[in-house]
Amino acid sequence: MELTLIYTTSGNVSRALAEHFGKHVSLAKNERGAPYLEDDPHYISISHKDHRLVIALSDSPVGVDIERMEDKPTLYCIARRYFPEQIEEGDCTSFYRSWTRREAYGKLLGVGLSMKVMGTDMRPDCLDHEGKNIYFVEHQPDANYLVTLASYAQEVTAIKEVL
Amino acid sequence: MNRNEILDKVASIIREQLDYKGALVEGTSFDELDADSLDLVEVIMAIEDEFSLTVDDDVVLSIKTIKDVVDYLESH
Repeated sequence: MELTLIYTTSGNVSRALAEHFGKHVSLAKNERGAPYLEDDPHYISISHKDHRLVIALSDSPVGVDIERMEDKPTLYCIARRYFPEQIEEGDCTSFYRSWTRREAYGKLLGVGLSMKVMGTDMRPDCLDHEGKNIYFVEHQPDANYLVTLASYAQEVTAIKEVL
Repeated sequence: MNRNEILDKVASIIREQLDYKGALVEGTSFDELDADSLDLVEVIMAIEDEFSLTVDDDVVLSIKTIKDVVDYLESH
């Protein structure tokens, strides 16, 4: 799978896409609120946190999520309530790994954070979904942020762009 | 507690959780507040603590606006 990961601190999706494609590209949303490019065949997934924006463009379906990793007690309350896997108090990296996998997985499937997605154990690096394998890849663009990608491809040729 | 009082309390919690200083009305969506799903879940859990109730998990994940929250609190 070929993947382009656009990471920018400008927070502007239209501008980031225009810089990447060298022209204006129209972004639309389907009936479930999932983004797609109107005039380009690439699959797209978008996530933002603070002013950081990450866009994944691929020749096959992809989901992406970015979170700022900040340790706080509520994380572990959330994990106890929603996650089947245990997250140890103080292990915020594991929490954010689990959370970003859920978000990316939900976006890949086009269903967002459903109860089924929330209740799926995110520990394996490869999940089975209705007979298809879903793989997770992580990036840390800087020390405090975690980006997780979900895709059906085990082999990813990632080209990172930082605008 | 009447609806306006519920709204005031919810708005106060949202401002604190999201560090938001602008105006909040029922029609405000969490997208407009730049809140992602994790922020939303944290806001709802803070609301649960304040109102001493538990919001159904299906409802938590379907909330889009402040009105959704106020509607739920008013009816429970």
